[in-house]
Amino acid sequence: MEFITLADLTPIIPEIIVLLTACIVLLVDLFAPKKERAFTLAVTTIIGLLLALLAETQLHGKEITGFYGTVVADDFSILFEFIYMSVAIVTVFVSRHYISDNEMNFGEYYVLLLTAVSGMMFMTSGLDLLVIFIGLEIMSISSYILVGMKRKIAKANEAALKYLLLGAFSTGFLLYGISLLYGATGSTLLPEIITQIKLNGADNPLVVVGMALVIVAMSFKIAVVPFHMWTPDVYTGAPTPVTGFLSGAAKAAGFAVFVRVLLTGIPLDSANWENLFWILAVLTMTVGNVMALRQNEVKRMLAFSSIAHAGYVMVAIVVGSTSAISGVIFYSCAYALMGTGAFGILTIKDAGRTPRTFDDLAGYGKRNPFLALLMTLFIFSLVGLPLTGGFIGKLQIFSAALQDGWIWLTIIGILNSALSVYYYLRVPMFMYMREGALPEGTDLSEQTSGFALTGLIGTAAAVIYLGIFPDRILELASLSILALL
Amino acid sequence: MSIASGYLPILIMIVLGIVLAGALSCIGLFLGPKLRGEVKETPFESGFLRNGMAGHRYDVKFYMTALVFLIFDVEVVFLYPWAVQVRELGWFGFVAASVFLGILVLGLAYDWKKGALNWE
Repeated sequence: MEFITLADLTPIIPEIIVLLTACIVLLVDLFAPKKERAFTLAVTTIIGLLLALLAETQLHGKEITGFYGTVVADDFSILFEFIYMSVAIVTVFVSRHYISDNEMNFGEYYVLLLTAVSGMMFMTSGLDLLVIFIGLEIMSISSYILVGMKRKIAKANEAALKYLLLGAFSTGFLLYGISLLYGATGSTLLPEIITQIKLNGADNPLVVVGMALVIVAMSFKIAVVPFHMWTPDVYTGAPTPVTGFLSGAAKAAGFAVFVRVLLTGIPLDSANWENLFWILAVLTMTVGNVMALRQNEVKRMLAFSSIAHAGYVMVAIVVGSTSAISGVIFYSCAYALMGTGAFGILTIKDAGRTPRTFDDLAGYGKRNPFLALLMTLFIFSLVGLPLTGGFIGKLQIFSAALQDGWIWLTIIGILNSALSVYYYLRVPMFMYMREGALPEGTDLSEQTSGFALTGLIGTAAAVIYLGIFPDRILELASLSILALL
Repeated sequence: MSIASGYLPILIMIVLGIVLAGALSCIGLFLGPKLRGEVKETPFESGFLRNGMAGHRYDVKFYMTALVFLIFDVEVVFLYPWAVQVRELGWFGFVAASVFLGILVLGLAYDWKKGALNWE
């Protein structure tokens, strides 16, 4: 048996950088002088994440494995890790003022953000089911605490507890699934499992049940109907920047594992699996959209709509062709940006409070014309109007579905998309067309923090970039899929 | 040789365990000083009051102590196998163990600075 050498560390250099940054942030939190502490923490976090991004670009195209083939840095994982880190950077930008306004200005906030990102990265680059499991746990445990960070608010505590309980359930499903797959194939290494299944066929009931349990566990994480019940409460109760982070990065991580486990070889050719995913996709799209119609709280509406977006991505997973899967990657990227952007706008104080209901948004366009413009852009992208990243993502997924002859699925998807226009456009409508009746003496002179604005402008620019020049990302995505299959 | 003979050492171990445990408690019973009093008679509950509502609140410092204990506990679990193999593992193993210890020391420093080691 060969020992692990330094070369084994190469594929996980970005993960190591992120974790080291977490350690450094912890030390900064302990020893930095009180006055500059908050600023230093945010800047250290961003620098660490940027360094990790740089390391990712160096690893691109090399496909290095390490630790006896349990981790890999292939193009697929690098693309997804880019998504997580970009979302984390935007989250840090929009969190700075939010966490000091809400009495949760702890260094631990950044540490947990970083460990959550490192967990996602391990999930994505893991080739062994146990590495994926550990990554998932690092991510989940960090995000349970992040959700409950507003300790004195009952709603945040409720959200954290619900998230913890359902998360623990889904972990149980995943472990049980892994153990059954191990029982059937004698390995937890994905390539090994795939060879075994190809040799002996996928009809083994252990394999079927094991796969089903893994699918259930991941469905919890990406909030596929009927495993979505936690999403609205958790997303509404969590601190708003954390909600953006969860909906952008944590879901993308779930999809990354979905694609890695399901499409790299565990054969889904049989009609049963396809039908199962078909039903899940339709349910997820429809339930998410219909429930979003009825919401008065903007954050809750966005939470339900994030379920619907997971449904669109499920369509691509049903189709499973190369262009559909590059659609998954592109859509995850686009949704991560527009979702964090939209939640990011909600973190900014307007007229002395953060906007909560649609009525709070009345008159927003007059009070903060620039922020209203950015929000409109994010909303248009969420709807899927042309020139935005959301449009290209939907186009890619639905055209791939049509090419493979999934006509009914496409029609349902497009109808759902049309349905979403109604509730999404209520946001710009309230912002621009309603007059806000503010209580007397409301302080309107507040300045938006430059930190948050930088992050939001960057996100908006990225959404437009994805909408106008999608070729580069789509090409990278389909190349990474080819490496995978 | 039957299969069972392989288990003879385990049988001896079990018997020895029972005898030793029994003997030690008996010795205590016969030789130990006996000072009876109200406090002495109550069952030991790790510092909690012995009766009261089941759902009462614990002081959070118990958890702090448990967490600090965890750091050292995990450390020992991982350092024993390393110490046994230290020559074969060479410098690479030494550096790896140092990284591990460094992370734990960071945790200890964090505890210390946050005041988790202060009982009062």
